[in-house]
Amino acid sequence: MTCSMKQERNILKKRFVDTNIFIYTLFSIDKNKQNQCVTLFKQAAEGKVILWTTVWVIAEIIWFLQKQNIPNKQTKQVITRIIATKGLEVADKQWLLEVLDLWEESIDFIDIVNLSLARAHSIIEGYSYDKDLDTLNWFKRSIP
Amino acid sequence: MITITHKGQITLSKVLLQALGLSVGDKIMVKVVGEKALLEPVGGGILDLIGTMPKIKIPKGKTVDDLLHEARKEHLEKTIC
Repeated sequence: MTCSMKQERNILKKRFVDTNIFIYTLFSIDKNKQNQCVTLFKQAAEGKVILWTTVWVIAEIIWFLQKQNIPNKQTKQVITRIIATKGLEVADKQWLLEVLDLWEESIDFIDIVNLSLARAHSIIEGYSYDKDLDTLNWFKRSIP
Repeated sequence: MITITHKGQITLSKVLLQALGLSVGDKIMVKVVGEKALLEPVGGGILDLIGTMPKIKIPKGKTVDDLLHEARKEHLEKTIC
């Protein structure tokens, strides 16, 4: 294997992207870091690197946006855009898009993640003290 | 009219792609609205969002990761309360 081939293989390895990379890209907190992150996403868009992330990173971005008082409707749009980023793979993307579709103002994102997973396993009843879950007409909440 | 293949795939014509301003590798959202399917270009992803978010200030001595830890903690506390 030639040196350039080795380099190419190395570049095209999938690389995990942590929550803070997305935050520094979205917000002008630190110009230097924002520029570095933008360069990374541009490289991904050009196919020079493959980026990969998880639903838990997406959940952390959502919590961060909520902490900044960004409305859920806008948060949903931001997350949809992030998922559509060229060169970024999101684990279980199709399922995540369905979760986003189910996500409503009144309910926590992680609750929807958990309950949509339950529904995928044909579980539509369960135990919780969280009354917000009652807003979902396809899930029957009980208390122990 | 477009035919759906055995794998459930469809092919969009060049004319349609041009009309939507799409090229190879671009992503579109497919939504079901009533009995219709809506194809919506989603643009360049996160790069399109730069400059659209509100300005935030990080308290002195804290990092983004500190704020992330706080957000995580607050979320957990809210869940238990």
